[in-house]
Amino acid sequence: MTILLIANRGEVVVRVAKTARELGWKIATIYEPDDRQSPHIRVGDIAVEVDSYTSIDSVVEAALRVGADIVHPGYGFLSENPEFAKKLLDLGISWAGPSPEKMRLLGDKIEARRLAEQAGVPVLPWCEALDVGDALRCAEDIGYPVVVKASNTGGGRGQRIARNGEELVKAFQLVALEARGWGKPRIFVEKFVENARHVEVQILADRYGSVVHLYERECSVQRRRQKIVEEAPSPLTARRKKLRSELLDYALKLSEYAGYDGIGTLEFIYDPKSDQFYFIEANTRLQVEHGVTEMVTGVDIVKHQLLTGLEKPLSLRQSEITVRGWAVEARVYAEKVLSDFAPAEGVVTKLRMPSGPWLRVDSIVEEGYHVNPKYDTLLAKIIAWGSDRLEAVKRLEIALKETVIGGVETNLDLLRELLASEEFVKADYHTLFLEKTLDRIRRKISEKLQILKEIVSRINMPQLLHMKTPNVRLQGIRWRTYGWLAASTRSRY
Amino acid sequence: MGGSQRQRVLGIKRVSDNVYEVLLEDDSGKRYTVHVKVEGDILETPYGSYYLQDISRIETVGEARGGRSVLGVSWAIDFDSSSGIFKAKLSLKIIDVKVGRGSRVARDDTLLLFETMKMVGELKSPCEGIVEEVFVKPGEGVKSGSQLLKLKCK
Repeated sequence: MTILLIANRGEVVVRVAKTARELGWKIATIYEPDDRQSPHIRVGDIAVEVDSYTSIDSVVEAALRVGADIVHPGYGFLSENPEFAKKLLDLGISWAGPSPEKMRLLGDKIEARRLAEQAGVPVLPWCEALDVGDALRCAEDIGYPVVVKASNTGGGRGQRIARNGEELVKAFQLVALEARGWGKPRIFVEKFVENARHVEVQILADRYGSVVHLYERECSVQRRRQKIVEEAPSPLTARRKKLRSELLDYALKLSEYAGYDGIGTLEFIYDPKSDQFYFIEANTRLQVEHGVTEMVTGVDIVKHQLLTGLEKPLSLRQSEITVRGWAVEARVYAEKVLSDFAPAEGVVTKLRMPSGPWLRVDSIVEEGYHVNPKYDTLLAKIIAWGSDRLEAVKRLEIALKETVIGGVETNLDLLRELLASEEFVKADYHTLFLEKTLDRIRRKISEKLQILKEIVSRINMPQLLHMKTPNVRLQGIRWRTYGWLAASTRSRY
Repeated sequence: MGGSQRQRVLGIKRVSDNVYEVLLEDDSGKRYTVHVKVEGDILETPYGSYYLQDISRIETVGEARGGRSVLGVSWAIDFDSSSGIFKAKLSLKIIDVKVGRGSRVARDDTLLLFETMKMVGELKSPCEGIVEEVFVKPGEGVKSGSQLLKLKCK
């Protein structure tokens, strides 16, 4: 019996556990002392306390205690830490990821970029900057605007745009500070592409030299450089055969040149000016948005990750992989959209998840779930499939409208607005699209909520009389009989 | 109340047990109706479904700005303009404090740098004024609700 330790929390644990159950494996989970109530623990057969989700020693010890044959790191936490992988492998425990050498090679943005250059895969003009002076000289060379990035950060942290020297000095300092959390920072400056699109290629590889791709995903809808809506295939490349095959070729070329040996994703930026893709970075782990690729290819990415982690050869050939239809994913976060996306805290007191044909819901949330802003506040990913893009978008829009997550603020209204926006429906977007339309969307949400609030305050609902709510606005309302209410009386409410 | 509201509720009519017809008017005077349905403790609308309890608790941007003295000067820090106190909205780590007691600051001057959720943020002064008190030191971790600085605006 194979024993799998899933070294993470949240929805990814539920996702990975599904495949492990299918394989007939035993599942072990971990929890931090103050996270023992998290529902992710219940999907496993045994749960072990660790000092921290990011403590290598403590998680390795947990793996030894449960007698794990293999460890799946999820995403975030230790998932891109080669020392962690190496420690496990040295102890004879398999690692559901590429070998530590490949993680090191591709996980470092500067090294990966050098590798891409050697492999003949285009990258944007860039240079490494040891200090602010270097950064300024570099930016002068390649021309503003530029992005200052740290070589070793993830999740959109450690990168800032600078449009002039003054901004660059500031950006350099802030990136250096942010990067400390990831170890020794190396900083580089890269040309910033206006109206860029973010397209990435899913790769599956094994320890024996086989590499296939599962086509591309587009993730151009981002807030603070974090993705919130993703889709497969990319609306950009699906229409452009040659452009798409160029992209896929680059991805395979780089994977093969690097001798990549696990599942991973290669991220590219598309510059509409040059009509060209540029490699930006590699993710040597499972990605949050892997589900859209699974929906259109029918391939269980996690299964291949686990099996290649056990050193089994890849059982898929490129010719067996095709894209059928379209899938769009929305990430539901507990966050305050109207106050700068601050993470929201609270207890989910009401839950209605969408269901029905063509939907996939990867979720961690349940009634009574405590959203702890100490961790990533991703609650669920809702994915809709359609035979074409418009069908998928419509289905997702309906699913999002059905969804109710009560008691804690979420970005559901933002996602609903986004999905219904003309730009999204036409796929006429770029990586700063959300930031540019955010004011408009916020205003719309605000208006809608205002109207809903007024409607609720004006209809007689027995449910509301039993509410234990601290809200004072609803108390003292004279409950009215039904029928048309004159607009002139509105101001009293 | 919010100043940017473009649609107004003109009236509400109950059309069946749990369905209501709402008559709305926008800025241009165009009128239209939408239907909302109450399903238990859920309100279903053309905009999406909502937990009824949450709707009454909703605080819209307009209200937060107009009705209260607390300003969200940053997504992680609040400023109470009557007491002049900055408070952390989340657990933060103070990275650097750029001002001291008695410092004169202009609007948008950086007061301190903080880190939360692995992101570095800057606290900028919402006004021209004098720093009356600094409660934190660089390197210090503070809990949600902790006082950070006291600023007297001119």
